[in-house]
Amino acid sequence: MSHHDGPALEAINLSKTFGSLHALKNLCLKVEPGMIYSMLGANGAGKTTTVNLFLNFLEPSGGQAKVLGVNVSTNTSQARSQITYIPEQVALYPDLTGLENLTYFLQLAGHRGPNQPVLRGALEEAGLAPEFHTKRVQGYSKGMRQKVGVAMALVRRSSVLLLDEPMSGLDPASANEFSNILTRLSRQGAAIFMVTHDLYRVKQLSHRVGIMKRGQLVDERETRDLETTELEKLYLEHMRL
Amino acid sequence: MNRTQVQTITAHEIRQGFQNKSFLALTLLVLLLFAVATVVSTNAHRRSQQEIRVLQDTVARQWQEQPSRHPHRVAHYGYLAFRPRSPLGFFDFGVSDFTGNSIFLEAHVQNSANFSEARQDSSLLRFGTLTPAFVFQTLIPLLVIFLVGTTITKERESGTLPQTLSLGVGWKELLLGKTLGNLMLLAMLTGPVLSFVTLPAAYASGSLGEQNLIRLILLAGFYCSDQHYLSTRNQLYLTTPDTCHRSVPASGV
Ligand SMILES: Nc1ncnc2c1ncn2[C@@H]1O[C@H](COP(=O)(O)OP(=O)(O)OP(=O)(O)O)[C@@H](O)[C@H]1O
Ligand SMILES: [Mg+2]
Repeated sequence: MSHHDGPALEAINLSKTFGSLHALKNLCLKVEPGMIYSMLGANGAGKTTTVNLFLNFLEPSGGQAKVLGVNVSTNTSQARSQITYIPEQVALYPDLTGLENLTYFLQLAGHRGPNQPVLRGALEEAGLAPEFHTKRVQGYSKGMRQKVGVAMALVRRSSVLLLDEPMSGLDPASANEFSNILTRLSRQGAAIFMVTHDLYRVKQLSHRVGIMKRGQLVDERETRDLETTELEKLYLEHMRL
Repeated sequence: MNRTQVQTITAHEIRQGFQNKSFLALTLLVLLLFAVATVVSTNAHRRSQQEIRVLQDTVARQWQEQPSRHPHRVAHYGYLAFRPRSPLGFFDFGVSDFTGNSIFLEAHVQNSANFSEARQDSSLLRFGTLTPAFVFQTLIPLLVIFLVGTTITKERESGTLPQTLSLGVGWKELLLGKTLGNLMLLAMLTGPVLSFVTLPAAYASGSLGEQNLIRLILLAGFYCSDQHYLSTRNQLYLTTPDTCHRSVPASGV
């Protein structure tokens, strides 16, 4: 983990335009270590754009994105090496087994010789049944692929997790396991930024929730203060306005 | 430059290549081309060797058959000397097509070499002579560029590219790893053919004299320098056959 004081993730007036479209407007956001931050918003609100800016997959049109105090557009590799990224569809090599995929990506992430028992343990903990560890990913369901991504997060113990609708496609039991894993990682000090449409998980998991609308952060609340029904009402109100 | 990442990507690329049917088909094509190049250029090489021998004999005979003359006049009669083809010319013609093949020796004058193929031929000669060396020096690098481009496009589409980049892998490492991987893969598949089939065949066919065995070994050595260490470093992930493969193109023979 890092030796950085202050927010693990920080957006300072972060903006992104695509031609004349303002996909993100002056976003200011902080996620402290140990915190789970959920981002809600309609389709096209700019949530994925935010994640991509934190990964520097997109260059910001204005402002800054910082990971552990490091500006991601100037020190991209350094910032990325601290991040575990789980997209909506975890991309894996179909010809390799889950275990081989995990081994490969971990080697790239700089893990020297992660041994098989550890990796199998992580896969199992992520909810992937042992008989699938050595099967080709070709035959995996979507949820099973997500679990390989979760296992990667478990082994890497990153200080920052960027999750873009990570639980879409997970069955309720797997989603529940995943939620428990996220809670545990945050207790160990990881900062987690999660884009989701699942109000129930937002309430159950996160410490703070943001609502995004047409590229702007329109509301931000502590979830402790809200019931799920209140959260839903709040969200719908914002969408109506 | 993160060497571990480069090595990991290289090993991964090699492994993916073995499972890629279009890659294997392409390799087969290269081998075929290589075989054709060997046959064509060995024939051309032998033909020009024979031509030179015949011409040189004619010149020698004409010289011998001169009537009895004053030595000064004999010196002015002159003598045409031909450049013999280099023994390994069947693999790579080298510069002989450009430098001229014959030189007229006569009294008082220092002539330069004459009759280079390049002067008489179209400019295609510079690019189009099909020799085994041409396959190695030009076609294989082109193929590697093509393969690297294709895998990057494919990975961008499937999403493994962003996944890889998100781990902190830089473009430099990615491109280098992929290039090395594809190069080594091609070398692994074509290298053994070169060292265990083509060169020995050429040797056995008698186009090389005994004294050129060392040259032959050196040639093979340049094209097949062993990069075995890369595969042993990645044992966990990949075990490659301990074959011979090319790392640097030797320029000319
Ligand atoms: N590469 C791009 N080029 C042009 N426009 C883009 C690009 N990426 C995103 N956009 C636009 O930016 C806006 C925000 O997109 P974004 O993907 O961030 O939405 P989102 O909040 O993640 O939506 P969803 O819930 O559907 O995933 C959209 O209007 C989209 O059309
Ligand atoms: Mg999105």
